[in-house]
Amino acid sequence: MATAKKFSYNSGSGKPLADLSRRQFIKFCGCVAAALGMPASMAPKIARAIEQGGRLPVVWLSFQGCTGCTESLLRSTHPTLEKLIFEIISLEYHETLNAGAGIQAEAALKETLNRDAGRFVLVAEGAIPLADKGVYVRINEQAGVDLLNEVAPKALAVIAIGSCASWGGIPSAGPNPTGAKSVGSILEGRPVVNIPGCPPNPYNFLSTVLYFATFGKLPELDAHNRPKFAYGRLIHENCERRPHFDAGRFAKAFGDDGHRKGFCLYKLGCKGPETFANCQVVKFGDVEASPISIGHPCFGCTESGVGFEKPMFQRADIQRFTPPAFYPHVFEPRGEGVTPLTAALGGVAFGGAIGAGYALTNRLFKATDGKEGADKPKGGGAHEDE
Amino acid sequence: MRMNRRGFLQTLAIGGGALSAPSFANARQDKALSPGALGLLYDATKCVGCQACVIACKEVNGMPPEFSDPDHLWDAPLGLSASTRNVIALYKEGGRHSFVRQSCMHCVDPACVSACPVKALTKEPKTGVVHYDAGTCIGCRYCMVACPFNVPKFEWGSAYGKIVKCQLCDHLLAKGEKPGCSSACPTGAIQFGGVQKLLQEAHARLKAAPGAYYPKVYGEKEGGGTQVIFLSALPFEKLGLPDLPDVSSATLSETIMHTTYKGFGMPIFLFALFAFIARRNLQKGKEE
Amino acid sequence: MQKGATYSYEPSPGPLWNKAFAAALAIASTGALAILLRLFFGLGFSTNLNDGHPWGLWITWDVLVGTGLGCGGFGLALLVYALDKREFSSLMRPAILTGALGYSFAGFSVILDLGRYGNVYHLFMPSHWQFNSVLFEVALCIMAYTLILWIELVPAMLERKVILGYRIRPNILERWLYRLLFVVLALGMLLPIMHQSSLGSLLIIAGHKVHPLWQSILFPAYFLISAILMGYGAVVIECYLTSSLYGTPFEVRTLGRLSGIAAWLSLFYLFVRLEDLTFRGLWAEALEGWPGMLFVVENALYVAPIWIVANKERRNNAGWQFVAAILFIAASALYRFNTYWFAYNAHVPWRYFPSFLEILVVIGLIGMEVVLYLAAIHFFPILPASRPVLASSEK
Ligand code: SF4
Ligand code: SF4
Ligand code: SF4
Ligand code: SF4
Repeated sequence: MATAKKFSYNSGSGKPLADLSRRQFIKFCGCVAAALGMPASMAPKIARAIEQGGRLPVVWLSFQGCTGCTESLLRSTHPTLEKLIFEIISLEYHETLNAGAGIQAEAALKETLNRDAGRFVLVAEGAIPLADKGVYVRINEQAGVDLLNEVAPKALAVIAIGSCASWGGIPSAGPNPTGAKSVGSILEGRPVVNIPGCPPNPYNFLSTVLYFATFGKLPELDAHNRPKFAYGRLIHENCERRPHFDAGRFAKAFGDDGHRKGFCLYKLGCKGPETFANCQVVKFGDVEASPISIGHPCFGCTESGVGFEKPMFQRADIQRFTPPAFYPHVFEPRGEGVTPLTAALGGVAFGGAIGAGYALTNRLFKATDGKEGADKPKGGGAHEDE
Repeated sequence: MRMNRRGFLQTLAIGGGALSAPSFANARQDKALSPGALGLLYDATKCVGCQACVIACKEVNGMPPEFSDPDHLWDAPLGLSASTRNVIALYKEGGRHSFVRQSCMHCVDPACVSACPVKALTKEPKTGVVHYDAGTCIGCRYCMVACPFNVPKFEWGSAYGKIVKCQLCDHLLAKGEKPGCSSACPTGAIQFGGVQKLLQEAHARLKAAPGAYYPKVYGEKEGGGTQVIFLSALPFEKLGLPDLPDVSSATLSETIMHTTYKGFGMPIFLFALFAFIARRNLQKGKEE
Repeated sequence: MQKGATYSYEPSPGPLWNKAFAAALAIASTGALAILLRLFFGLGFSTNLNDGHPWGLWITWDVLVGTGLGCGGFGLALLVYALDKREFSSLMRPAILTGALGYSFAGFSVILDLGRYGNVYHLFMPSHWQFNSVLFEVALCIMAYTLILWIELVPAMLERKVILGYRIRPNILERWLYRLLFVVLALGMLLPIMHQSSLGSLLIIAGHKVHPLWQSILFPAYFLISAILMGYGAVVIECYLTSSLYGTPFEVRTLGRLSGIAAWLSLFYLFVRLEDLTFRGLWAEALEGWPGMLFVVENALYVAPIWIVANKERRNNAGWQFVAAILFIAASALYRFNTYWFAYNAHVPWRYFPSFLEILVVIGLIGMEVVLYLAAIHFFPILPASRPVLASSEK
């Protein structure tokens, strides 16, 4: 694996490490700045940090996962993977990408741990199984949890990439036979940046790493330790189908008229309204695609308790309510009118009073008809003024 | 249905005749606009109905959403309520339409303040903001009966509810910020500022584009004047703003109250009279 | 005509526990349950009150009609003490008892109606007093008058020398009470004039929200007259009810004269009310639509009893008197319902009809009043005795 060496653009040897032109490089830094929600003027600063600070050594450990996060990283093109790992960071160890294998690879890891202790960034992919003494992940005769506990204390920062590492992901879904846990819950007491997603968007990862390289500190995190620049808003808030939601136009079945017309997928179970991520802004695979944009509801992979937890087509719990695209009328009738029940009770009370009044009146008429002027009911003497 | 100005004055006159005597010598004058009064100018012709103000108002005041659809998809209030202090309503007729914003008007001479028996509603002397204090309120809801714009709303859902209404975001004003609704408005349809300035601005707009507006600034005189004033292309009555006499209902009510109770003269006189007669008759009764 | 006769009163004959009492008790308990629901779950749960009709059945019935019916004592006091028409004094005590109960329960139902009843003590704190508020005046005045009504009943209670096994020695209290009786009586006449008229003034500030057929600067006058009419009506009905329940004598002549006075008052009321409309040129509207119909019915209800009482024969007939009394009450009650409910419109169309629990509370409160009334007349000398003292001593 490449040793840590200063990044040099078209370095003196005359042999460019890759064909990343200066212009492209600055452009890339501009993209990162934008993803971080910073002005484009930050791009040179990021570039300078990369150039002067040397490439950041990165150790990438894989645990209980599908390697989808790596796959996703492999498919990023701005920059391509090789540019990333050779020019921007210095990827010291990564099971899938290692040049060597077996003893060689492990030796490289040992070397890095010794040489770069306290300087490298640890990226953990996959959940950590704890059941049966962690036997469900073993690397080099070592349980996954032990490997993590060995490497993490030496790292400068820890990034949990993907939903499995961030909050458990698929392996932790009920009944969770392997006792899968998130990286953060193993390394309690130590800040772990979570980049959830199944798979996560590689740019969120890159931006976090470069923010760290540039400013020497972690980006601002939310309550789930996710970088706010990427996970600060709901899918629903940046969704291209949102006008349909606001207007009440919904696809009700896959392939129905509304679905063909690109209506909102809420009623098909879209979890966009309860999922915080930027998939609708920074899309996937460099073809401007996201699940929602190809007609499938968001399933909430970045959100613990939503992805792999809630049934795929169950309706989401909307997190932020906003007014629809229609309005109350100026004279909107409201209030509760008469109902059969209240009418009945009111009628009985009113009718009872009338009935009693009628009966008593009758009696009084009879009493007075008997005699002139006044009379006595039931034995009482009529009182008259004399 | 509405009592127009003529009818109102006639009532006043016949009432004056009936109460005769000194009567309206005590007539209270409408309260005047304080020079530092703050308010809003809502220009319906600029409002695009985005409802950003509705969301902003909820956010800065920590108000819950209000549902009116069976699926509970939207914060869709049908009007003002205990969870909604600001709402955009739509008036449509033929090809024309207009939005209209509903919220407390911060009346210059507020009926609600005159009505509240315990001073839970008060008018800030400098800014003229009409403020509500739940700790004082007894929940009689007389303010709701009194307000000519039906603004104060009661928290019916609670076992110990309170009144809710716009207070011109006085918690933000205290920090030197603007009210949530006006900050959020993307088109400048809700403008915050000193009422005098806003009135000038409103008249300037009327003058600059007479054809675009209904020729009146609503709130300049209505009901004794309001600190939230309106401009619109359509007649204000169609937008749900009642056609009010220029004199505030607080003035009328307090005139009646104070005419009868000024210095407690009338009650004391009646009491003395009754006491005298009762005493005499009681003694007469004993003697016989 | 015998002047200055001191009437004697006696407790109602027969056992307290009878069918009427049992029925009232049952109704009262149901009402108590409904009241608990209101206290635990709030107004939105138990009532249909809403932002367009913040005041509903509890205010219209319990307060407006309840205190109106309780004004019998006040109306009679005006006649007996102010105008020295002593012949009506035999009706005093039951009327005052009805008043005391009516006003107390009105107060109670207002507490139920208050959203923040825990703060009600603010009404007694000078720092919170708001003299511009009509409601403030009404609240304090009604509370004061309720107190006065109970004080007026003290002599009745003192006459019964043994209460719950305790012998009471009323001498000092009695002496002071009689010495200050004229103050109590004067207040008993003044306070209702103040708050009953103010119940009308309350609505002046609502301006355009009350239909112009009702919205009037003469609200105070109309409310005062309607209170007296309801009071007289209540006196008549009450007399006949208790008489026929206990077989005590009818007071046909006295009640006939009372009905006559009520009729004159109604006539005056109608004259002013219609003149008011003519003056404001509202006749076209008077017969228009739903409010117009209510207006016609309301005033027809005033005309009908006047017609009944106008004839001497009918005036002195218990049955006709009873009908007229009901009509006086119905007319005034409808007037009050119209002003606060039917003709009150919050500019935007708001529907309101009381909820099941709301109605249940009202019925329950009536039940409670009846229970207390029956108990009071059973334990204390409230009802007029079968004969005037003079007559019985001759016996
Ligand atoms: S529910 Fe889903 S598809 Fe619909 S607007 Fe929200 S995120 Fe987009
Ligand atoms: S609009 Fe209503 S609540 Fe607001 S100040 Fe005026 S009277 Fe009071
Ligand atoms: S409900 Fe509260 S604020 Fe309104 S008038 Fe009554 S006491 Fe005052
Ligand atoms: S001033 Fe504040 S409380 Fe009033 S409507 Fe605007 S945002 Fe809402």
